Amino acid sequence: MTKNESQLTRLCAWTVAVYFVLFGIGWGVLGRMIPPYPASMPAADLAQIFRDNASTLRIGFAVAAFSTTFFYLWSVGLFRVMVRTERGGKILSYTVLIGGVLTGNDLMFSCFIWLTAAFRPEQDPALIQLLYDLGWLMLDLAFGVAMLYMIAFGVIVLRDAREKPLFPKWLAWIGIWAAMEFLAELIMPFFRSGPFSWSGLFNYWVPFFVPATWMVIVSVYMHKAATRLNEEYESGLPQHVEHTTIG
Amino acid sequence: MGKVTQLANTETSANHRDPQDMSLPGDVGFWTFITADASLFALLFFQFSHDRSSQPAVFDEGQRDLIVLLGTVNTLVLVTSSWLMASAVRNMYRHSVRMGLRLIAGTAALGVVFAALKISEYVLTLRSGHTVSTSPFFMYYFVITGIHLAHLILGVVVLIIVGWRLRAGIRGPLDRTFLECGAAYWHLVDLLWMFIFPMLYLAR
Repeated sequence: MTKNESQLTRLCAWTVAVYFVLFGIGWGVLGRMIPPYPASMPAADLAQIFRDNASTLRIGFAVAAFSTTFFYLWSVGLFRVMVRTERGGKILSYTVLIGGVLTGNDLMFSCFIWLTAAFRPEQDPALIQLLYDLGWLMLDLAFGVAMLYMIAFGVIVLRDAREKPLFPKWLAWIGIWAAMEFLAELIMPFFRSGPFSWSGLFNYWVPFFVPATWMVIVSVYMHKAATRLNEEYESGLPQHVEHTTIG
Repeated sequence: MGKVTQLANTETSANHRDPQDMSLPGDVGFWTFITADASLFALLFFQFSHDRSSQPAVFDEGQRDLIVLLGTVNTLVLVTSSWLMASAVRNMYRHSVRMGLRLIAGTAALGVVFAALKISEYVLTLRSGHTVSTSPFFMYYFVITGIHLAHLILGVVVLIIVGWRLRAGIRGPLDRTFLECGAAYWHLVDLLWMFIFPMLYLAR
C-alpha cells in the first residue's frame, strides 16, 4: 500500500467517528430513536409526537440520512484493506464493499421514510403510523446486506495467514456472530411489543449496539493495518504474499 | 492465534494432543463466538424467567400442553450425538480415520433425527391450536427452540464440511482446528438444549 493510499485509508477509518456522531445526534437524539417508539403505540399518540416535534425530527432525519455518506467512505476504506488481506481472488473483498454500501443505503432510505412522516405531520395519524412502520420494517429486515460485509470480513480475516494477522481473529468471530444474530429480525414482524419487537432487546438493543461497537473496533484495527501495509510496501515486501501453506 | 504457527514447528503436535496441553481446543478466537452466542442465550433465558415470574399461571398452562415425550427423546438423541462427536475426535487423533469419519456421520445423522422430531413436534403443537401468538409461553417456546434448531442445522452443515475436509485424516494444524471447532460448536448446541429442555418442558 503506497503512502498516499495508506493515508486515505486511515482517513476512511476515521470517518466512522463522523458517521456515528452525526447519526447518533440525528437519528438517536433529534429523531428520538434511542429507544424507538414501540409498534404497539396508538396512531394518535404517535402522530401527536410528530406534530409536537416536527422541526427537530426533520433536522434529525435529514442529518442522519446525510451521515450515511461517511458510512460509504468507511466501506471503501475497509474494502482497500480487505483487498490487501484476502488471499486469492477478491470476491469476498467486493462482498465487503457492496455489503457496506448497501447497509449505508438502507439506513439512508429508512431516514427518508421517517422524514416524510415528519414533513406533513398534520396529516391522518394512520399515515404517520404507516410511514413509521415502513421505516422500521425496511431498516430491520434489510439485515442481509449487513450480514454480507460482516461475514465476508470475518472469513477474510480468519484466512489471513500472516504471522501477525492484520485483524484479531476474535474480532472476525464477533462479527460473524453479530451477523447471525440479525436472523432474529425474521420474527420481528410478528411482534408489536416484547423482546422481539423492533424496540425490544433482541431486535433493537443487541443488533444495533453490538455491530456498532464492532465497527468502532474494526476501524481502530483498520487504521493500524493501513500503517502496517504501508511499512510492508516501503520495506519492499511483496504485497500479496502467500505467507504459509494452509491445510 | 499464534498457536497455529507455533504448532506447525513441532512435528507431532499436528496429529495428537499433548496431555499437558491445557490450551483451549480449536481456535482461541472461536471461543469468542461461543461466549457471545452463549451470552445471547443467557439473555433469552433471563428474559423468559423474568416474564414467567410475572404471569406464572399462563406459563404453567402452556407447559402442560407440550409433548414432553418428544422433548425427552430429543434430549437422549443430542446427548448420544455429543458422545459420538467426542469419540470421533479421539479416533481422528489415533489415526483411525474411517472410524472417525463414521462417527462424524453418525453425529450429523442424529442431528437430522433431532430436527425431524422437532419439526414433527411443531406440527403437532400447531395442530392442537398453539401458535407463536397464542400466549407468551408459546411465543418463547417457538422462538427459543426455533433459534436452537437453526443452530443445530448450522451444526449439521459444519459437521459435513469438517468430515469432507478430514476425509484423508488430519494432515495439518488447520485440519485440527477445523475438527476441534466443529466439535466445540456441536457441544454448544447440545449444552444449550440441556438448559432449554428443563426450562421449557419441566420447570414448574
